[in-house]
Parts: sequence; structure tokens; C-alpha cells
Amino acid sequence: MAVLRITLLLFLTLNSLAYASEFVFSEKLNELDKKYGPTPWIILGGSAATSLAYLMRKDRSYRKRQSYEETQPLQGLGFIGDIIGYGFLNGSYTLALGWYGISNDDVEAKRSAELMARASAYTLATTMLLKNIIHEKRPGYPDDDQSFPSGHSAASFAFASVVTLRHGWGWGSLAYTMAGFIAVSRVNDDYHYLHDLLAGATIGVAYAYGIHQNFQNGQDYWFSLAPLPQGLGAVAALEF
Amino acid sequence: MLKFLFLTLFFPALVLANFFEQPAEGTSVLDLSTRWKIEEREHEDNTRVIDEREYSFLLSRLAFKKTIVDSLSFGAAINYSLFGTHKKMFAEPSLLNTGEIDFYGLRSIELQSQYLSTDKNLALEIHLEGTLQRARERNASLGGFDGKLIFKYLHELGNFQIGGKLFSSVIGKKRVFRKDGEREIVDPYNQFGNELTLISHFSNWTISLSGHFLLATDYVVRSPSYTRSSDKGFGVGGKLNFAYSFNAKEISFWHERSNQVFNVITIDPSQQFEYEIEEQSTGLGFKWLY
Repeated sequence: MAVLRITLLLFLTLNSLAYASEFVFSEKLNELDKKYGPTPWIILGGSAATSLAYLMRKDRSYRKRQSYEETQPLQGLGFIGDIIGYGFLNGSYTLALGWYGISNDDVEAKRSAELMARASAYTLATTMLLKNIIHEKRPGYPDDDQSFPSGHSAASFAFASVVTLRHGWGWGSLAYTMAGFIAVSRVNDDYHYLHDLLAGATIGVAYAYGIHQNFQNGQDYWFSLAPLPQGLGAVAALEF
Repeated sequence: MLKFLFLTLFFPALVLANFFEQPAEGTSVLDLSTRWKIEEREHEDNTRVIDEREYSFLLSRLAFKKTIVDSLSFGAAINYSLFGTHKKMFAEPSLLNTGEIDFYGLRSIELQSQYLSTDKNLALEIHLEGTLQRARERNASLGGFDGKLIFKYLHELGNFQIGGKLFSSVIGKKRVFRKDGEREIVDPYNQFGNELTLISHFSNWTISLSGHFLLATDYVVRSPSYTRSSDKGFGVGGKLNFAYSFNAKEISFWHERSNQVFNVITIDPSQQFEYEIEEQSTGLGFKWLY
């Protein structure tokens, strides 16, 4: 019965909050939505998903190992995601659209290239900073302590989000499928835990949407919260 | 988008078949369904099944959902097992049935709440379920507590709709007590995945085909005689659903299957074991909008 009591209490609390927000904060939420777009929700949702995955992780003794092939979703194909996930998609897109925009004086192409370059650069900087602060060991390679967050996931989801924002959901779906493949390949090959992928994807998507929103609003900086294994940390990004 | 809203606002029967499963403001949905569900959990190496648990049951579900203001709905459901069995089998010397428990009665209670943004075709849902199933024999029960956070989105593609669910689930601690005193505990773990659904409307008929892929955190099973620790898992699954809507009512029939695989860590790294969880269910449901 304790479980049911907790369930009921939690449910009523969440409902009360949602019910209250519907009336009291609806206008403020609309204002926030106009100013920041979906970025705060992406960060909140991504942080929640990352935290859940981290909390559910069990303690284990680290040792070099390779997963049983039957339990690898991509089996021997993980190396493909490993190779293309090193920012090649981001770099290719930036160079191709940048070159096309400059050659044809196409403002939209140049803007797409700039958005991709900025989103990728900030994502890479944040990811590398967190990797070097946290030093989490990789699940299959304990000699390497650069597990959290996943740089491959961050870069590929930043790429997919920029493609979606600039070219619509048709191309975006393909790009997100590619990003999902790259992210899963990292778990497949024992380089990352699930929470590493979720944190990386959250950072990549949040930067892409945040910078896109800034382009639309004419703002030059934004501030975000980033999930850390020990809790929630603050990350400030200044556009220059 | 406008076509979808028009259909859902002016043809209430279609509300039942919509992807978000949210009725219009001030209305409610009553949902009565029955399904035959089988869940198998195998512990195996690359040559044989070492032991297996199988749960099979006929489950009836009574659910209620009401939209209280504009885009906010809440719902509750009761699951009742009309009858069911829980078997445990060991491989040595062959797949022997070494224990079977019959159970029936109240199985679980669900609560859910959804916030829907109709202009953006996005929704956020919280789903909680508490399970406590007592078996016929004394001291035999199985229970647990699960939670799920779901982000839903919908796109129009010609005559089709493509719906997506990005979900993060916590599968709570599961306790299985047997009458002989054996107790097995499955520690809580997390699933994160995406489910895509292709929806097609033909007059009063709605056909939807779903597929999902998920990644899971560690799966650990403990009993007095063993502890099996497995790390990452992944799962795939699909569902085919037919629905017929008429006069603010809907009859649906579905079949779904899912499979999850976990890699078991052992002391000897050369030994490779896995857990495989297979689920399938076939059901018939009736919904009434009022």
C-alpha cells in the first residue's frame, strides 16, 4: 500500500502543478516560449532522462571487455558510427553550404553554414570541458576516462537539429536517424553508457535550437543548465 | 494540421482514434479492454537456455480519461487478471517445469496525465503504474512500481500521419515470492527509446503500425542462491492496431510483440551469458466517448 500512497501523492502533486500552470503561468510560458523557444524544455527533458539513466546504473568493477555479440544491437557495424561521428557530417555541411553561399551570394546558405559551425563549435567545447572535468571511465575501456558526455552523440544531434531547423522534417528525419545510429554505435561498442548518450544528445540539440532562436531574436548569448553525474551543473555560453 | 484539428473537433468519433488519445475539453473516454499476454524471461548462453520464467495471463483493463481544461487531461486505469500462471523451468537435464503458481485478482493501478499542445501537435505524458499481484498460494506474490515520461509528436504526410513517442521509463524493483520461500528481486532499471507510428484513416477505419527501439541500463537479478549482473540492454518491438469508430465509440483489435536482450557480466570474461525478455499480447478493446 505504501507504493500506492506514494503513487497517488506524486500524481496529485504533478497534476496540481500542471493544473496551476495552465491558469497562472500560461501567459508567462508563452512569453518564455517566444524568447527562448523550445531550448529550456529540451534541457529540462534531456536532464531528466539523463538523470534517470544515471540513477539506474549499477556499480560494477571496471575491466576491459567486449560485449557478447548477440547483445549488441548493431553487432559488428558499430565502427561505421564511430568513424562518421567525429564531426565529419558537421564539417562537410558547413564547408559545402558555406562555399555555396559565398559562391552564389546566397544569404540563407551562409546562415545555415554559420548556424552549423556555431552549434558544432559550442557543442564540442562544452563536451570537451565536461569530459575533462568529470573523468568518467568508459564501460569497456577503463584506461580511458573520457566517457561522459558522448562527443559523438553531441555532434551528431547538433548536426541533425540544424538540418531539421533549416531544411524541415523530411531531411531532419534522415539526419536524426543518422544521429541515432551514431549514438547507438557508441553503446554497441562499449565506449559509452546510456546516460552519456542522453547528455551528449541534450547538449547538441539544445545548442542548435538555442542558437537558432538567438538568430531569430537577435540575441547574442544564452545560458543553460547541463546534466552532470553528480547532479545538475550550470554552463554559460557566450556567442562571439 | 487544420484538417486534423477540424476532424477531431467536429467528428468526435475520430477523437478516439487520434494519436494523442485525448478527448476534447469537458469530455471523457471510458476504455474497456481484454488482452492475452505472455512474458518470457530466459537466462541463456550461446548454446542453451539455462532457466526460464514464463508469465501468461488474461488481463482486463478498465480505464477512464477526462480532459479538464483545454489541453490537460488525466486518467486512471485498473488492471485485473482473470487468470494467469507463472512457471519456472530449468534446463538440466532437459527443460523441466520446476514450479508453477496460479494467480488472479487485481494486478495493477495506473495513473496518467497529459499536456497537449494542439497548435504544435506535441504532448507530454506522465504515466505511473503500481503492481501488486497475489497468487493463490500463501506467500506467493509479484509486485513492482513503474514510471514513464513520454514526449509525443505528430506530423502530417499526405493521407498519413506519422506519430512519434520519445520515452524514458523507470522499470521499478520487481519482487517475486514463491510459496517455498524463494525470493527473487529484479533491481530497477531504465529504458530510453523512440516509437514511431504510421497511422492511416479510411472512413471509419484506422490502421496503425508501430515500431520501437530502446536502450536500457543494467539488469540485475538477485536471489538467495545467485546474483546475475548484466549491463546495457536493447529492445525492439512492434504493434499492429485496427480500430473502427462509430457514434462516438470505437472497437479496436491489436497484436504486439517486443524483445529485450541484456548482456550478463560474469567473473570469467570468456563466459558469455544473456537475458532475453520476450513479450507478446493480443487484445480487443472498446472505447466510449461521452
